[in-house]
Amino acid sequence: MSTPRRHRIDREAAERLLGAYERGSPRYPVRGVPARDPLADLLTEAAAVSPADPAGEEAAVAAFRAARVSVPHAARRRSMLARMLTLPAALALGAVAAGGLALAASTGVLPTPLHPGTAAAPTVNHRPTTPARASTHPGASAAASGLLGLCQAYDHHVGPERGRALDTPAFGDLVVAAGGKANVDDFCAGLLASEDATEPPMKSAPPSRTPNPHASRTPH
Amino acid sequence: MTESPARPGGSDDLAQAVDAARQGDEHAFRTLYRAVQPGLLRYLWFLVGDDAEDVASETWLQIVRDLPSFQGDGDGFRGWAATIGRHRAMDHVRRYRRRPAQPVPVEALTGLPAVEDTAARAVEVVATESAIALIASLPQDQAEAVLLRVVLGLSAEAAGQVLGKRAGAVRTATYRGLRRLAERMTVAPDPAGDGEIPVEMPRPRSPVPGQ
Repeated sequence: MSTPRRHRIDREAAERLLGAYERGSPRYPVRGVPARDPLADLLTEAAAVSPADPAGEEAAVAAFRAARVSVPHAARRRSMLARMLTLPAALALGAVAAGGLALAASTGVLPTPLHPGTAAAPTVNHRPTTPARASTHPGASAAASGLLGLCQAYDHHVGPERGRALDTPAFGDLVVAAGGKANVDDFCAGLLASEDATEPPMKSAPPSRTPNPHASRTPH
Repeated sequence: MTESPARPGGSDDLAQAVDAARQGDEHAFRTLYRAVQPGLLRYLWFLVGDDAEDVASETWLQIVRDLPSFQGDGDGFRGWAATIGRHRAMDHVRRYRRRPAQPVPVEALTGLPAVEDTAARAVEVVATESAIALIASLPQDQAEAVLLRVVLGLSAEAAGQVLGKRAGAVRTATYRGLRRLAERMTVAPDPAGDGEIPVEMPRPRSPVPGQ
């Protein structure tokens, strides 16, 4: 091949050429691209397979594992809830599970920790720093079930949203039960851990997702 | 020049990998990484130069964090990863207020592991970086459109979503970019007469915030 040929490319030709690189396109992988076409060669080089990147891959996989390990328990429940329920429904389900629905139906008020609908066990609202005690009464009260639903819904949120969510009326009872917004993370951790005795206890750190070394997140 | 061999991560493969990774399947996540990282890194190199590896790491951290709430197939995942990468790149430039060093020598280009290079592989490496650099010398909107479509394999629609443009605008930008590249191919001298066209190494550009 001596001198490059004059290159004329129209829109159709451009789209045909690009189609070879489009992963969802039937022309992919890049085989039908005309040979000895400098432009096509250039694009093929740009898109060529590159060597493996084991270091970067292991770092990404480590982050992937960490994101799953930190909230394995809540994540399963959260995804199930997310698929089936909305927040108010989750609260109602908690109440139903504990037999509080009769009260709700009759008075139109869902039982809350402050107004337990059944003769239930420990009112957790005056034991903010020892959430584990609530869990030692395994016959989950209406209060505990409602709080569990709130904890699971709270866990939907990430980062600064978590604090803001606690300011909303929906989570007011959770904040009271935990004895303050600052205690909610620990309170929920204890509640979620005790909920399933076969699971290993949750770490004392508040549930969080991926450890993000870049603390300043730019909203976008 | 060589044809590329069949690449992993055709759109059907990735759709399954996406679903499995969302369920916590680590092997599936590796498949996603291997399919997307090379193109992502090259795109990021165009955007932030030497910092491409750092920005790529930040991008994967966010991908991992937000994966549970992602919905889409393989093409959607690629576009989503490119969008996150672009945002991270813009944040990076804003945060550090710096422009990539110029010019970028081939040896300093990131993204390639310190594996033993055979002569053949070294040639491949240089060829790929040269190709990216030539595309990078286009006007930014054309370069970005071409890169997203070629190295990340996005459709015009998917690339449009990354760039905040309509698919038609992306097609126009890619067409203009390819036309300009084609013109350069004919104009470039061929001193050795062996079909190899020497390539200038232009400065990678950083994205303009707000674009």
